Amino acid sequence: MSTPVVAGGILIEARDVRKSFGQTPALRGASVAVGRGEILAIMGPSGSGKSTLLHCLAGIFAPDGGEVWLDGSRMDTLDEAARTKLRRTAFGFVFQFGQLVPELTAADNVAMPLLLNRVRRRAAYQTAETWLEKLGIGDKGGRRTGELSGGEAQRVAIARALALGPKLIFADEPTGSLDSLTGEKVMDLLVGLAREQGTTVIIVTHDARVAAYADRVVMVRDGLVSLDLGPESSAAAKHAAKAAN
Amino acid sequence: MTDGNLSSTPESGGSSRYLRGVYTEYIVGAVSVPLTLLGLLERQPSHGYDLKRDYDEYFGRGKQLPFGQVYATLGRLARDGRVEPGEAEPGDGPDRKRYAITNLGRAEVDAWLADPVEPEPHLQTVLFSKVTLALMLGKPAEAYLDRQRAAHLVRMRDLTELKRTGPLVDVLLADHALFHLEADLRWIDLTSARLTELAEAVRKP
Amino acid sequence: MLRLGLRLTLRSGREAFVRLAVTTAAVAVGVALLLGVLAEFHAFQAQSSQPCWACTSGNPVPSTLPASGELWNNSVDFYQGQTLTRLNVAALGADAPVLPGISRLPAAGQYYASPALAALLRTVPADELGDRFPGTMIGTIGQAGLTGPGQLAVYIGYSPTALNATGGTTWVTSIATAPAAEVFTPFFRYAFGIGVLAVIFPMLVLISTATRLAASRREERFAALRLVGGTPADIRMIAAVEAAVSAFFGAILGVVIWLLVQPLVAGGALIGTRYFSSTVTPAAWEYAAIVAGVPAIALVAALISLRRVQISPLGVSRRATPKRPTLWRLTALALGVALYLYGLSVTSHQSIGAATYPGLLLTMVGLVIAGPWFTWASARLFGSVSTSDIVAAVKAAGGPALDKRKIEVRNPIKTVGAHQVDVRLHPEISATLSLEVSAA
Repeated sequence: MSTPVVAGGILIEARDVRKSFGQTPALRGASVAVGRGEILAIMGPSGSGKSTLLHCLAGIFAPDGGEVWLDGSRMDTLDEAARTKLRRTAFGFVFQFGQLVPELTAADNVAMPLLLNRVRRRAAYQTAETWLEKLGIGDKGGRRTGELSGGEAQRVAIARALALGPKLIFADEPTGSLDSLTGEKVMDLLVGLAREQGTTVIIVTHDARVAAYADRVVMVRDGLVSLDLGPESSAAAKHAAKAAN
Repeated sequence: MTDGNLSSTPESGGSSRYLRGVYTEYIVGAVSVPLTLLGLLERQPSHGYDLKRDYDEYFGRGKQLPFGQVYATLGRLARDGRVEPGEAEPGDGPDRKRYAITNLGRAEVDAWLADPVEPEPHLQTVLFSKVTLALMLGKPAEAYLDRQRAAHLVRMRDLTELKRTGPLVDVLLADHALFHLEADLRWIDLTSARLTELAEAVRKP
Repeated sequence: MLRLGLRLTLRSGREAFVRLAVTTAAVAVGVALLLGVLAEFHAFQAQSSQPCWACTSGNPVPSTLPASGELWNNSVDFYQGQTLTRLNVAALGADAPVLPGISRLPAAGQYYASPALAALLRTVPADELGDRFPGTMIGTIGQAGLTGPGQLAVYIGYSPTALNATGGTTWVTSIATAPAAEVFTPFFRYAFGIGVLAVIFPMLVLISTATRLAASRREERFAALRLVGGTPADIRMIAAVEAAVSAFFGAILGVVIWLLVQPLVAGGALIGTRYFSSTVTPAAWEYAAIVAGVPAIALVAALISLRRVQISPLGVSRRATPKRPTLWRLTALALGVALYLYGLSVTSHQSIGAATYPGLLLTMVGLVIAGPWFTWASARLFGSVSTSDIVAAVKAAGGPALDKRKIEVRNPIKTVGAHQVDVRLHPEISATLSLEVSAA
């Protein structure tokens, strides 16, 4: 069982999680714990179940077996409505595809979780503007996201993820469709801003250079978390020390 | 057991040294010949001639290992207690002796295989030797690969951190190193997927 | 949430707006037609419930002229092919009942003419028309006494003795107020009922089809909303708003179209006689019912169409696979046709068989229910796997999004089993795709 390096305790934890789709088992008893403020990368070959693990941690699926604990209470036993609520109050998402509404503007998309949470329109859009500025695309607020470039769209997704002040951000191949330089900028922003806000981040990726941004890396193989390529580097240790203060 | 020039201290000063060190001083190949021969010997006691033949077949890559180097290495290993020369067999010359590995030798092979190689570009030759030997000897190659992955990721993490704070030249160097390390990792992934096939291939003789 | 729905509906870009506009236009046409049918029905009703004064059955004139009531002498005249209703009337006392449409009975030497007749009298030479009526015209007959604006009618005043001398005179003490019993009234009532249905059904089908078409484009969008914490109720609300908005604007537009067209309709003749244009209008409550009802129906249709669709945050719409349409779907249709034919068989001159009306209704409903079976059956006979199906299957299997124009099907795929198609990825590069077609 891989344990986090940062002080501040465990924020989210999967214990022996199982999940099958029809006859195909995707997860066969995966366990991983993520500390508060930690940035974890989950790597693995395609078909290993890493995205499924992310989805179970995010409450998008309820696992068939095992437990998921969030902040000290069981998350996998919550009903669909409660898990949906978590997604708009405590979680942010940065996926590779299919996450923004292309016909709506960037500001609309960023404000969406807030609006869904019944935040007043003006406040929601002001927050959206602020975060678009922080991501360096303040001038693109009125453009439809379907018309933006890949990098700009991912920045919108990051702004949307951070705008609601989440505890956790789930990213699945966030730079998958981007070229190297754009991808680097996106990762810099994601990781930099998350660290600033003290947000925990879980990134699923097959790209080692993306995983290199994380404090800790685990590998998923055949539906199990088989390896903790832990934080023996000083960078993580430095960060751990900073976080503990 | 490793080459001394690649000791790197993780502070940024050391990392710079490491970076420049990577591209100016690089010697690895020669070091692993004794260990490779030792590993080959672990399979069963062999004559020097057989060892050279096997080394050339699996690790020579077109270049044949000179007999002299083989016997010199065996001599040194015997002196260090890693191997034991057997009784001289009828025939002429030192090449008729059959060498056997000692427990000390076995332990050294184990440690070498288990210890990840310093992550740097162009290490396939060493890694390749280790993986092949591990497969020949029936050792857990997958686990060794995992440890290598870990070492690589740690290095990549340091380089990524360096890019945040270092001057642009170092950023460029770091990028270059990162891409090569990533290439290594992809090779490791691919090899990992082929392990069963490879095991078959090396167990034939 | 409502505002979000409105925003998504109205500001989703050109393509969505065009879709919205087309649906609105279609609903508008349907609503206008519906209002037209209702208006015609009203006019028909008004006309057929018009008190039939000409139906008054008088009594034979007693030998001594009584001092109350009046003498009537009906006749039917013709002018240039048009019927001219002529009533010669002589008041016998001060309490003589006044004919509908006039304020007092004409005295001898006076007459009232219907507006259409009055217009003719102004233009036609007296020896052709006006000379038939002794006396002077003192006024026109109002709407209450006529069956339509084009009716030619005249009430001519006579002295009682002069009228009594004419044959066919009767003595009338009270004027009938019951409407004429037209044998065809029930027929027309059914006809109108069917007309209304005939307009409503296609509109319902259109609305539900448009909702379902839009749904497949919306799935990705809804998945994105679900990902960031939108509940299924939120999604339903947004879908419902989309449907209701286009239906609402369509209804309003339909009312406007109707109001513009109404004068033309009012002037037309449906069964020979024109209607008074003031009667050719739906009632106020009917306007309200349509403007409120059409969006309500669209809303319900949208919610029902979403019932089987589960939108997950990952965009995989796990549609509860609809079962293959069974033959049971044809029962309503068969029953409807049977009822209709039975009703036809008992139709006589007296009445239409009571079973025809429900029979027709059931047939229409049955057609809608049986539709999917017919589609399935004809697909089995004539359908084949299309390139769009292939693209969708590849995507569902996790493969890339192919351009269906690049897929070359050697022979139409009509059988279950393994098939191969080529995909021309590049002018020089072609890949072979192996397909497995299985029975639904």
